[in-house]
Amino acid sequence: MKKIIVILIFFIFQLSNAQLVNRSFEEVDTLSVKKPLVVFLHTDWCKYCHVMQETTFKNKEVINKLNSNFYFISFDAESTENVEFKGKLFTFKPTGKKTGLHEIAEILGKYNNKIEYPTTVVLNTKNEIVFQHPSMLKPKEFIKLLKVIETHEEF
Amino acid sequence: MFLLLTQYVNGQELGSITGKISIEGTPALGAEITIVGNSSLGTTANEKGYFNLSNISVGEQILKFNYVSAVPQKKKVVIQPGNNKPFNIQLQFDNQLNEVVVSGTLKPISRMDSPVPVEVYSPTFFKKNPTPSIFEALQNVNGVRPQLNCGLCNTGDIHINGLEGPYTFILIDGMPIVSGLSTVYGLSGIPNSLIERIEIVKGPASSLYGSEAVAGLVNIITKKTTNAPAFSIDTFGTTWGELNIDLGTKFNIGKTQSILGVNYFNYNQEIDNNNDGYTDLTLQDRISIFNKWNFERKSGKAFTIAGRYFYEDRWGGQLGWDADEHRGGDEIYGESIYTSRAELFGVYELPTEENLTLSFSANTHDQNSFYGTTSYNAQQHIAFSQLIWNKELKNHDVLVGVTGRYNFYDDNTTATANEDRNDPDEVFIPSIFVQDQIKFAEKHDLLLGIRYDEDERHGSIFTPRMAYKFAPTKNDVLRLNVGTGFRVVNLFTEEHAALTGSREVVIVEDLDPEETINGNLNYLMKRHLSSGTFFNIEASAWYTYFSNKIIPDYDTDENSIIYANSNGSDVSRGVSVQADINFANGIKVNFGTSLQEVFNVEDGNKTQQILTEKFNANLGVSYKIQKWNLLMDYTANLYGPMRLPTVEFTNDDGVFIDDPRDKFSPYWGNHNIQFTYDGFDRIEIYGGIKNLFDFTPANGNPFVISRGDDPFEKIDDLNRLPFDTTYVYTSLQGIRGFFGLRYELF
Repeated sequence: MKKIIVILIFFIFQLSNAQLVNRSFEEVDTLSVKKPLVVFLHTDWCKYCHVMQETTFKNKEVINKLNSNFYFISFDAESTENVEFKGKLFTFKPTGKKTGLHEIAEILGKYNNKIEYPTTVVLNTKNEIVFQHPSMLKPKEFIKLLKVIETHEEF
Repeated sequence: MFLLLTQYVNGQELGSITGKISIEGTPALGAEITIVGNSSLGTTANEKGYFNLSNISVGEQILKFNYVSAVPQKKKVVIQPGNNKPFNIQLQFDNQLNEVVVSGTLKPISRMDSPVPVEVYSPTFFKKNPTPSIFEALQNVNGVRPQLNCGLCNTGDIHINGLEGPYTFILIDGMPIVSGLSTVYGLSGIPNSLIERIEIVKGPASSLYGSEAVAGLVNIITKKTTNAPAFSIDTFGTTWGELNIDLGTKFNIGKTQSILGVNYFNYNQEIDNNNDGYTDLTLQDRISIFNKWNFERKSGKAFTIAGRYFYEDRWGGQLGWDADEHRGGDEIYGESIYTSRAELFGVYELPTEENLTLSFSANTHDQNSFYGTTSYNAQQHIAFSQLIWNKELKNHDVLVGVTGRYNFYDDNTTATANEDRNDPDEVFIPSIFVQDQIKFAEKHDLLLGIRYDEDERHGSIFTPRMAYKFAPTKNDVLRLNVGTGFRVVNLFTEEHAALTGSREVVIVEDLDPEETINGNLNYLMKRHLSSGTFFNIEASAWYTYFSNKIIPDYDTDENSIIYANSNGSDVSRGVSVQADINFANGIKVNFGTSLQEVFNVEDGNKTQQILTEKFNANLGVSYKIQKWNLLMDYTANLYGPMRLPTVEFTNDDGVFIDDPRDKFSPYWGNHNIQFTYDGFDRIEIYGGIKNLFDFTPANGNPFVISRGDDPFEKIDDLNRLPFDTTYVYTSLQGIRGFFGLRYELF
């Protein structure tokens, strides 16, 4: 019985622990411990973004890795709020009524001269883009990616 | 020395190899390199993409390259002892799972935050069955149907949930194109390569656009200049000789960005497969140019202007018709329309602290046409402007707006004549509206709106609207939308049916505005299974009550179309279900079906609306064979029986003359298949078959055009049916093959 309770508590603890920490660019700027930064660029109309949010970013291993070894930012590429990052101001660029693209999404996500959604971007501790992936990543693929970045010491 | 030693481990000769792996041009950090058949050897590429693999047995080896979500590659190498020649390898992303590239069969999620259900479609959705215009492509969307209104001239509009085109509002990047004809022309000229997505609202949208958005709203979002290709071309032809060319490009002038699209469509063959002496498909020559300018401002606020020009020359009729010789004459029957149309629209956010947005839209439309001997020349000019103040206060999101709309209409008929004098129809309609979106609890959103229009012909009109959204979970949303609407019918410009030359148009009195009360209920659920399969299911029910629907009356007299105020009431009601399923194995299926009833009740008699089906369904199945770079699409539209405008009558001698054509259409469908190959760099080729089962309205009927041999009714015979072309309920174009090519340069 005791064992079961311990397991149960452990399980609950695990569950409550399994919350992905989603930060803002401003917040990451103020953090003193340097870690690679994973930025997930999405929009509210993109279905595969939603699929990733519902599967990949709900995967325990992904969450654990992201929370412990990375900073994670989930960013709506069409959000209209200003972003301040590394002393620079990034703004939303409208291209019509209620449509447009955020500068920081363009800078981080542009790949082969275009942005596709979702795009996963990894920045190293020197804030250099080391990885861009303009397509959906399944949990297994995402874990593989995180492992690769973890094993490269230069990050 | 040490190296030499290691190379002779176990008495076997060993070699090593280096190389560089890139993925679409950039270093593939972390790519895995393994040897097929030797799982113990393997390495990963560094951040520059370089790898070094040693201790490989000499001889022929197969190297395998794996990368996160890339298509795996193999390479055969003959390993020599010692160091081998370095090589480069290029990997390609497995681009199946993003919004922009391939195979978006499954439509993206609805925008969940809005109290009004907005469906979002990616351009790939419309690529499944390529069409010369978005207008035709919309047949793939459940509940949306392009309706042919003219049997010979083949013009049409878009019906959403059984309601006619003028009830649907068209926007481009949120900028309205205000015109009853917008569903006919508002979708032309924008190449697929410049479209980011299309948002569709079925059912009333909001108070912002008033009555013209009772049936729904189509918002085309063009690509941001960042994402638009520097140059794109998409061209296809069919075995019928149709040719479609779409060109797209973009350019920057300082901080100003522009996208430009050109569409050209040509069909110039008189094909008559049903042997009735009439063209099966209207001959067309059409060009449409779309240009959008985006001005980047210091304030970061929006300033966008777009314009479009459209010119079209179309004719359909008896074979051998020639514009120079027969246009307007009574020798050979032809319906010929020259249309030229220009539009300018834009949005400007005022440089004020407060959030003030000015939208404007102007268009001018000129139609020069002959329907047999009847000439119809009309001009319509519309100017529209709207100023909206948007304020967010705690859980309120308030919109207040003023709108002005000016309409000018003139034609050569008696509709715009006053006694002997020409008297163009001119009207200015100012409106104000207030809308408040309230998030009154975590899972509850309420939208309240009211609009007031001051119409000099019909007085003051109030249209309230309420929308409510309840989202019990992130993946379940229930929405209810109720309100009233009205529309002033502009007969000639908006009712192409009124112009079919075979019938005379009779307007018995001044037409009052149509008034509606309607409600929509919508439920959306999304599920993601652990297997990787995910799906959306959406169910809707709608009810619209018209107290004065102006419906063309084809039934009373076989020689005319009568327009009058309705004494009775009209109802459009129905339910629809649609599902999009993305299976883990890559098969994508979308399916939708609607059951609807559109009818008129007058003096206790219920009449089904003509040319409107009670059942329709659509289906799309797509699968990509990654290895072959081959995408396969199957699309189908199915329709239940529609009541058709047959022309039986009782002649002056009291003899009943029957029309031998079917009074109802059969259950019919349109099936299409397509194959797309995208294995070349930047180039995609596609081809397939449209109308696979060769269905046309001619099937099973002795003729589709009554009295086709005597269109000018010169033969004096009381027993003959009148000349009538309105029976053609869908295109007479049968089975055909198509082949096309797309090229995009970024």
